[in-house]
Amino acid sequence: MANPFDFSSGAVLTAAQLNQIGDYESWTPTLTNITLGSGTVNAHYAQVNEFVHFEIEFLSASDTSFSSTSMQFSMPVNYGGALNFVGLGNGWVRPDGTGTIYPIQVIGVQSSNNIVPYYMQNFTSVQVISVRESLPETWIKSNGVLYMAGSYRAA
Amino acid sequence: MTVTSTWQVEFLDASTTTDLTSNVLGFSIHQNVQIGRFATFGGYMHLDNTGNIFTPSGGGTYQAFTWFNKIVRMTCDINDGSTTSTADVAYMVVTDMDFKDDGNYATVMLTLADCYTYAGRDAVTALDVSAAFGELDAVAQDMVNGVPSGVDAVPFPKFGATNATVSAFSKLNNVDPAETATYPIGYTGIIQEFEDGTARDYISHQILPSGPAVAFPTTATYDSSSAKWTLNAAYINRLLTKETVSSTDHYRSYEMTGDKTADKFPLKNVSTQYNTVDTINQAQIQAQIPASGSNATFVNDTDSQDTLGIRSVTYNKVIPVVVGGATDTEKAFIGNFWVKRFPTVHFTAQTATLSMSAIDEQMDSSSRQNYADFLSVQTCLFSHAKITFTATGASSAKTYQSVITGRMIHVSPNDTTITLRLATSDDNQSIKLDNTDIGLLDTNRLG
Repeated sequence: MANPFDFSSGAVLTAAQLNQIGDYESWTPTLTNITLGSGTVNAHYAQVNEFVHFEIEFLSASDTSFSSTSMQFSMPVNYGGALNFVGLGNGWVRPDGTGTIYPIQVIGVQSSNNIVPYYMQNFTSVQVISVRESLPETWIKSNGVLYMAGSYRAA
Repeated sequence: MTVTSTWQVEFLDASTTTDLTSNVLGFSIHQNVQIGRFATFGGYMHLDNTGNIFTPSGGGTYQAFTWFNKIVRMTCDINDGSTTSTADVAYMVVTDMDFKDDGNYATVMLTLADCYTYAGRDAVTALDVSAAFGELDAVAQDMVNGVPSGVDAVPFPKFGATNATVSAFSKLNNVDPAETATYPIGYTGIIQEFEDGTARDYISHQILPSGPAVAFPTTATYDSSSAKWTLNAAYINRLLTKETVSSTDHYRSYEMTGDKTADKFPLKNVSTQYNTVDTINQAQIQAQIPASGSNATFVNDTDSQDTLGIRSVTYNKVIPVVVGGATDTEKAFIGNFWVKRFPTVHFTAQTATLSMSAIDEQMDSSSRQNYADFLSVQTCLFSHAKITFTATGASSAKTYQSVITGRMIHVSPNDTTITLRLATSDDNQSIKLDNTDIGLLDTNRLG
């Protein structure tokens, strides 16, 4: 059940409403630097007061196009914490659909309320960089996969 | 400060309002509501016919009065000295007239019934077997109005209007979450076939038991632009507690006390009960269209049965919509309403009697509207009542949280007495958040 609950003074409380607390529901994130085409995004979230947990499955298709800058997904509910960049969770990405699986960190951007996947890049020392058209490797558009899950504090 | 209460008895048709208040010797009306059954109201009214004014062809003013084509409106004005609130107490029709004359004194006794009495007269025929209806209130309304085409509308009198009289059911609480499911259980009906019966039969035996839900007649209104009467009815879904619907708060609570207290309703007497009349620990439910091989579904509370014996309700043709027919799951949803809510015995107020002359003394401008609401049929029935009194010999007062499930109003020139039929709100309301009377965890029911 979406927040805020239907629990306002004078409302009649039902068992069904109580049983729905924390139930997951779908949302359609706004994509930045991705043109989805016939690709699919399955996104679900649950919210209990200020606590939000989300899951995003991104599957590219042959007509999906990417950008040379960070791919981003809008949050289901705006971030309410004080951190400019907040760690939300993790996941994995497999840009060519069958090859290497890269673990990712999922970061929330306070200013845009967007979810951004980062992966560990190995140069002279480990650094993180956001997932994009050519990173961590060039996306094979027909079957690229990105899974993310995380939680954060809602506004 | 006190208020004054003044009754009006008017006979309405589309073009005229005839005020016969001064000819009324007295009247009694009873308005009782039951879960899962369309309420029927009745009453009697005595008119003074000493001047022979009402006798048909008697030469009097009302010798040709069309009694059976009128709506009898009984209202009560509550005035606090500057402002008047009018209560819509009852809208009835005349079903019988009895003239009595002992050679010295002549009276007319009218037998009254609620306006939906016509829905219980003629069998519904020619139903469109593929008709799909909405929620239960809409199913009931459509059944009366003959919607969709193929269903025969109830042939109400036109009461002097050009166009046919129609029915309108109004929700007094909000849609239960179960109603939002793809195939809501107990809230949407497809009546694919009927046995012989009247519209009222179907409402009482199939439609309302499928919630179960509460429905009762309220007022009648005439719209000159559409040139027709609308007979209004109130609908309360299985949550039972009235709520704010479309910015109108239908919930009311009336506080009644054994002692005279300002702004509260003084009790004349109270009857309390401790018996199994309202107890239900077994429900037998069968759908009109059950899933293949699905026999009647029994829901039992064996603990209650072991203590109190079996007390059951049976509904044979409920109309939950489920593709392929209703299974035990859907039928048990209806049966659980009864067995989960009513398996225990409560010591509770059964009836309370009040005198309007005594109420008048306790009310003032701040409670005027609440008093009028108490008298109005829609805002009184199935509302909360808090009954507080000190039993004879007891050291302290006791409060009973109740619901008004019916009332009998007896009006005479001297005074008006109102006898309320009560049930415990513990079972007959659902928990209302932050409400001090029916918002108690471990006491009030979740809907």
